[in-house]
Amino acid sequence: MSGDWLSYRLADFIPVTPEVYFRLVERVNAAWWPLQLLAGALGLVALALAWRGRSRFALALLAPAWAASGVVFHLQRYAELNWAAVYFGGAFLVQAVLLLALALFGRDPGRRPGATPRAVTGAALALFGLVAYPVVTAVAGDGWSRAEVFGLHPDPTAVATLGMVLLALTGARAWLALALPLLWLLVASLTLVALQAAWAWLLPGVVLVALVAIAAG
Amino acid sequence: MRTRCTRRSVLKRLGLGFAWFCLLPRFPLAQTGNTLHKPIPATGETLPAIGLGTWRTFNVGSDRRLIDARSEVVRAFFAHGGGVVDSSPMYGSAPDLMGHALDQLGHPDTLFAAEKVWSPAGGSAREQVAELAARWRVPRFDLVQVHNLDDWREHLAALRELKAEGKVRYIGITTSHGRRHREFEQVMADEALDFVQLTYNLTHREAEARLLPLAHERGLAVIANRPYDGGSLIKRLKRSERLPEWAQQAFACRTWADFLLRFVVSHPALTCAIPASTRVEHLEENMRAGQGPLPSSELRARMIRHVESL
Repeated sequence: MSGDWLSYRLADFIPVTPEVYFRLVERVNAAWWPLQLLAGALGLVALALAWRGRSRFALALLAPAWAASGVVFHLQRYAELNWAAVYFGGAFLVQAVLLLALALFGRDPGRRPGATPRAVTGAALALFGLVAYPVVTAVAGDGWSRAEVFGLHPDPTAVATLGMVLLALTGARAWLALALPLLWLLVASLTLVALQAAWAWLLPGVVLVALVAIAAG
Repeated sequence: MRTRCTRRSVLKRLGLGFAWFCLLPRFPLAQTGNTLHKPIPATGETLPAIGLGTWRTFNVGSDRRLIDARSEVVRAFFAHGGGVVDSSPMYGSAPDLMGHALDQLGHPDTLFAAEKVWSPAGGSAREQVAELAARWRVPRFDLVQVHNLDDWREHLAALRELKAEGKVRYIGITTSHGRRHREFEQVMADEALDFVQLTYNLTHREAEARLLPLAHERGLAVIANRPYDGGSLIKRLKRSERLPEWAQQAFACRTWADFLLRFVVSHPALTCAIPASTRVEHLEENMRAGQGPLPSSELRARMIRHVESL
């Protein structure tokens, strides 16, 4: 039986074709336009707050982005195609609650994080998730209608969160807030590789950069 | 009928079966119109040799554009005399899509609806079959198979009851990717089945050694899944290889679809291959493969050597 697992390919775990998956991205965009603009603006506000040391407000703005992408992408749409999406959606809602709890019961550092390698990397990753990732998915994919955006689609939401948590939190609280985004980015990387997306290598790169920044302190 | 066998008797019967299999000149084929049909050994009923798989390709959810596109594939399949459509409760919305397409088409006479029962799908085999029939919008399935041998003892017992009640016409088991062949062989040898489904294509021929001869011996129809190795084989060949001229001359082979599918269905034990398709032009290419002459055993050996040399 253990040998059976070796006979599986990555694509065997993804029950849809690339055409169906990226149509899903497109349908979410069409259903919620122009919410993408508001979500992106809130993401930039959260980044600015995190950069100024207002971590709790930043985390409070990230929470609805996780709840929205969990419901809109996973539970409403992807779950029609992949039974595992019910669990993905549940995990996104747990992350939303966790971010909200950290915002309500945490404390602000009371000062700007400063231009440390960790903070600069965090800000760069957050900007990448908020601004560059939608552009990359539109250009390397099939146009603006299939751009993946913060607050609606899970991948840029996780990337931007990774960056902002690096900026806003340290120690055990940071790891608590990073666990699910890192896990999701692993799942998303494997999904994009299986779907042969041109930008599939980006997400493992993001995770690697984040881990190096954490290790560097 | 249930026959208990020891390992020794299974091996003995396999040996006898293989000898008998080698002596056979060719298993019966039937041409209905231009379409190649092959018989179900249990009843003699014939099926078109090219069917339609739905894994991944028919899982489109509520996407209206893709539902319409796949419905066109189903329409073309039956317009070309298609019969077997194979799905599973683990294929997402594929059963719903079939229900939609069949509603539009008015349930073609040639439809041979094949489904599966799957343990993680929840519910008993009986409940799963009823729910799937409602999704397909068919009164009953022609064939229900135990998906990947999941809880096969419980499921097969329930499927036998459904068959006895006339709610299912044939029953069977499935595997894919060459998994669990030893257990699969044992179930084939011990249990009363009508069909088996397994992976067989030009680059995955493990089933030739034991399962296909045993299917012959036991009088089981065989459905070949992944005849294009999940699509990767035909994509690679189309992208980078020229179809050999000798194949064109020897059995009017015009496309790589002809080459790959006719290899699969020309095996004497094979009843039907189920390539999946998302586009009408690919579906038509597949269906044309079931309308030409089949390669001889010598040509089959040459086809294997050719693909292995690429």
